[in-house]
Amino acid sequence: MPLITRLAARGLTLLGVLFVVLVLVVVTLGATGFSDRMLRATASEELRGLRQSLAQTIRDPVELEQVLTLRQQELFRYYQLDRPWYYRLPDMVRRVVTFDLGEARTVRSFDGSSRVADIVLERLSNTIMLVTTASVITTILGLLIGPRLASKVGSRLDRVSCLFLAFSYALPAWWMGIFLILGFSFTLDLFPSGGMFSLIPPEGGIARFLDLLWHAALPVITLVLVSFGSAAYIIRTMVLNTAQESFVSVGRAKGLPNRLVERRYILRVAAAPIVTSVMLGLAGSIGGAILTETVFNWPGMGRLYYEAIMAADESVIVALTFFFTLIYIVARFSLEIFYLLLDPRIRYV
Amino acid sequence: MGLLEVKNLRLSYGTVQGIVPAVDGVSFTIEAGETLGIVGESGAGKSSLASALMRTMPRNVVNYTGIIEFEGSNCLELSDEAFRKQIRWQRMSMVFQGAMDSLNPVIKVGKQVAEPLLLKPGIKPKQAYATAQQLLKMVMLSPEVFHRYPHELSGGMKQRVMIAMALIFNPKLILIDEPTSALDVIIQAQIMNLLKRFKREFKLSILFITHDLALASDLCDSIAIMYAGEIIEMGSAEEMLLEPKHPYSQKLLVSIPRLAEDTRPEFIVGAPPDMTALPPGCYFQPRCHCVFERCLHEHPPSFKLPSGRLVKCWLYGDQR
Amino acid sequence: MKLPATMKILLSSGTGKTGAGFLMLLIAVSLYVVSVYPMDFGLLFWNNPAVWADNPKNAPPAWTSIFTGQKKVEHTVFAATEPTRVIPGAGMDTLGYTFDLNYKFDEPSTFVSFALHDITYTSRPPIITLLLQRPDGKEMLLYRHVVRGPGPGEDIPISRYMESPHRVYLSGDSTVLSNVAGFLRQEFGQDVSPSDLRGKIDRIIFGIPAEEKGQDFAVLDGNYTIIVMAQVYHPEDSIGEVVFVLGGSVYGAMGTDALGRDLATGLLFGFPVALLIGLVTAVITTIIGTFMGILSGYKGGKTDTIIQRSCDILANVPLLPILIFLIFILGQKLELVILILIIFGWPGLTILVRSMVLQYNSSQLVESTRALGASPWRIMFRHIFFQIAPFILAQMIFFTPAAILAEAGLSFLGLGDPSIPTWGQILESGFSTGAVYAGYWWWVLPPGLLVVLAAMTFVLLTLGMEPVVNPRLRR
Ligand SMILES: Nc1ncnc2c1ncn2[C@@H]1O[C@H](COP(=O)(O)OP(=O)(O)OP(=O)(O)O)[C@@H](O)[C@H]1O
Ligand SMILES: [Mg+2]
Repeated sequence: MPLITRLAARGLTLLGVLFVVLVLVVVTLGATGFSDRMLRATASEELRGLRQSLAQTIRDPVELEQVLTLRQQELFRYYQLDRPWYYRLPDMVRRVVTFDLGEARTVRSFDGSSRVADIVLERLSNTIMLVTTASVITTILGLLIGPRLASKVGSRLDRVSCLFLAFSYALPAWWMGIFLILGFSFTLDLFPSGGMFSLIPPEGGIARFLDLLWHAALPVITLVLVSFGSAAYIIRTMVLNTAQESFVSVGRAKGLPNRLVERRYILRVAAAPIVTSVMLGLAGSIGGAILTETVFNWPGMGRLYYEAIMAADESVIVALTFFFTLIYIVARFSLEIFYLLLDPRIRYV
Repeated sequence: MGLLEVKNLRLSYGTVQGIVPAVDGVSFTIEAGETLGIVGESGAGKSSLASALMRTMPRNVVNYTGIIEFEGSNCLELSDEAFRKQIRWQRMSMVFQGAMDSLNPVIKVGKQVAEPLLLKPGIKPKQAYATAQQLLKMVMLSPEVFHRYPHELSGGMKQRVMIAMALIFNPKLILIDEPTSALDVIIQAQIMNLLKRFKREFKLSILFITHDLALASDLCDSIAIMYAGEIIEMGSAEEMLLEPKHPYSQKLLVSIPRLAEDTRPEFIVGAPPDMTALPPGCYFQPRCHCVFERCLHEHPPSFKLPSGRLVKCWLYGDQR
Repeated sequence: MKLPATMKILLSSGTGKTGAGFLMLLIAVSLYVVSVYPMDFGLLFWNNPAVWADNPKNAPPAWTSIFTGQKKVEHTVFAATEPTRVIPGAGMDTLGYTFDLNYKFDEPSTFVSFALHDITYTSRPPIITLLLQRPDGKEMLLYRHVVRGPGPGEDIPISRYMESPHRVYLSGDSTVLSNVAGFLRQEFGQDVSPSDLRGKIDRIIFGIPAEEKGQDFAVLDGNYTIIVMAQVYHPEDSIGEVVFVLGGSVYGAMGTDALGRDLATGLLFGFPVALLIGLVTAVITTIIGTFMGILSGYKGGKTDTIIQRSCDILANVPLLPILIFLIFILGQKLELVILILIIFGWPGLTILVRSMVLQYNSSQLVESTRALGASPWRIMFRHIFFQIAPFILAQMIFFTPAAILAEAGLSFLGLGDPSIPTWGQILESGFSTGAVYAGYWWWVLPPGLLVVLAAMTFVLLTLGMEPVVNPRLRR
């Protein structure tokens, strides 16, 4: 029962986040007149198409104009352009939630579609692939390094590492990426400077996969370098706090081997707070991914942000903002479940 | 020869303020089946003594010397690994102070009790769990406690679990540190009865740590009073209760509230000493009501009285 | 805990000391910049191409010569507003400007340009002559210019070149070509048609005909003197400024970007901006967060619930996407970035502060002050606040790099405030124009490094504060 309650509470909060973002987006768009402009553009696009097809059948220009004006009024009514923007809010929310995101102005999907949903969705997997790989590596590194530092707290190694970890936290992803491109791509020519596949991808599954790995190496290294510092530091601190609990000395006194004590009495107990801090770092990872993809021209949603900003394509930006929030919320919720599995104090009360 | 013979044991911590000699040349013997009570104020070094015996000291220990002879082997000469494998928990176990956070919050109680046994080669998990279940029953816990997590237990229940846990290997000696201080009187009495029963039934030797002289005399055969890291008086429980010799012991005795008499309990004036800056001479001298010249300059050795009592006080210097 | 004690603990650790040192540096540079730079540096200078027109593009820093071993021409600007001497004559004065140039490079200049600003004359238009005295004793006439005469109906005095200067690229000007051809004929007996000299001017000006085959001119090192003579026909006539630019292939301490902007000036300007972004955001976030946290924890009840629910939601919004969206729609303004960072930043602190307040709320101190009849506000702020002050200070320091990094990331995505140059924007312009792929490291690495330095400073200070906040780590 408390398990369900807690999950439901967290779920509600996260839905609240989604809702707030959504409202923020649509209200901003409406109040600044952006949505007006977007809808008008869509309507006039339709009218132009109509004009072309009608011009074949209706020869008389006056009549043609009449028909078109009629149609325009219809369209404006349909898009509710004849009323103030706030009347359209519910409709806008509904459209965003159902992924009915309209047409992009200039940005196109890989196969040329201008539907925003197509453009964004085809890149979703690329982003998820990149972020997941980097997160898994980061977590593993953090789990290997953090506890080791905790066991040597105050030593020179610990202090030097803390400096390094601070450096890693202060390191912006984009700059790290540029640094790696200059070093490993421009100077040493070991890795490609961007993209996901070679211009002419090699034939065959394995060769293609290796090509992908080769292209993914620098972006993944970038993401890992900028995030594992804080991961390791947080794990170090959590382990340090847990190691001072008295049940740890009890575990030692019970004659358990040191490794077992570390695993079962320290790491296992610290796991839940560690997951919490990973959750708190998640938003940061998403930000890092946006910038890393931009630097490495990785065809994911982050790079799309950059392209849409450069092309001033607002409908794509709206869609991306919504999608990133959605991804974030789904990831958060999965971590919540994971957290509940780790902490019996909440699991069975 | 006793089960446990401790000679001149010392344990000090290094801190920012200076060195803390938490255990300062302590010697005593516990015979098989005997119960020794260690009584002292908070900060006297009782828990430190226990951790020195169990080798569970914190990191900042700077001095750890002396002789701990347990069943004929000198523990201080054993390596950490050998001590862990041969002695710790199997022959000498401990109930830690503060049962509230002595249990791992993410492991079920039954498993925690059985855990050391599970790791023994040649013991089947089933066997180990059965033993644990039995022990829980022995400390009067219902069988379903086995499947619970620590946060689902009350303080008293946790304390029982800790006792059961300490008994899993059927050890010769068990150190019990303040098992009742956080509990109410009824639970306290139940726990004490439990200990008395174990002592009787299993011929268990116990080192019982408390700040309550009355509680100690109820359970123990002999009692040692600790002050500022030293044992300042040691003797049989009845004698100690009837006729304490050291001024501090006397004060400690009258500070016990008694229901039967209407003497008010007296508090010991002054605060326990600052362990990093102990006074010259006798450590108790600033608070002592019998203080004289010698106490201010010379630290008293242990004097053995004809009755066999050991006292660290110049008052008894001439009776050597 | 008192502030001096906090400082002492902070400075007792290596990390704390390093952080404090870096902070001093940041503050010192910022103060320098604030006192020297104009406030509207961004619009007036940085993003004004005219200012940088004379500079070489994509030039690496001057000190890179040390590593490449080749002495590259260091970009140098000679400018004067007052003449070095005035030679009086009959009916006209000659204003003489001289500049000394010690040429000690292994290559000819990349270009040479000459510019005149703000000329005023009353009767006849002035004539300006540019001469070069070379180390081999030869004198070279480079350029002569007669200021345009008065137009019909133009009032005296006549002003020229006020809005934009009269600028000539000597390397490509046709009169210069024929002047140089004349020089070659007269001094070296070479007969070349002026049009063949196109693109060779720099080599001739700073060189002599080469002995070896294959190379037509060799660089002539030594002391040159640049002489500008202006003949004016009225004592009131004036010349605002004469400028002679030796176009180099290396530039200053930090090099230039594709527009020829001196990166050192932009990077320096970034210091106070970064500090401002970080500190303003952190301070306001901390004030709001602490206030709401204490209010929430102390008041309890409905206030608490409302504040906590809002915090839960706001603190969980993924920041960068929202920032991108809002800045894109609402406009690229730095104030707006700071505002958004604050709006989504305070709830995290409020949640933490509240939980600390709850711990202290029932503590004896608060209980007893309450019993003594202290007012709730007094209790909240005098007693609770001082208990958690070191923790809050640590949090404030911790927020600072987050804001700096967020702004830099946003700028990198092309959403920086164009009126205020920041490190992120410098890097972005390098990235979007392909400097990374061309290997212009002096353009893209330093701004990032400075962001790291600024962020590092505050991370180190946070680490140094750790023992203050978590006494268990005190040694
Ligand atoms: N890890 C440590 N580092 C430094 N000093 C310590 C440490 N542990 C204990 N001490 C100090 O050593 C002295 C003895 O502490 P100990 O815990 O042994 O006292 P105790 O008699 O068990 O007290 P209590 O009845 O309160 O449990 C005290 O002065 C204490 O402050
Ligand atoms: Mg103790």
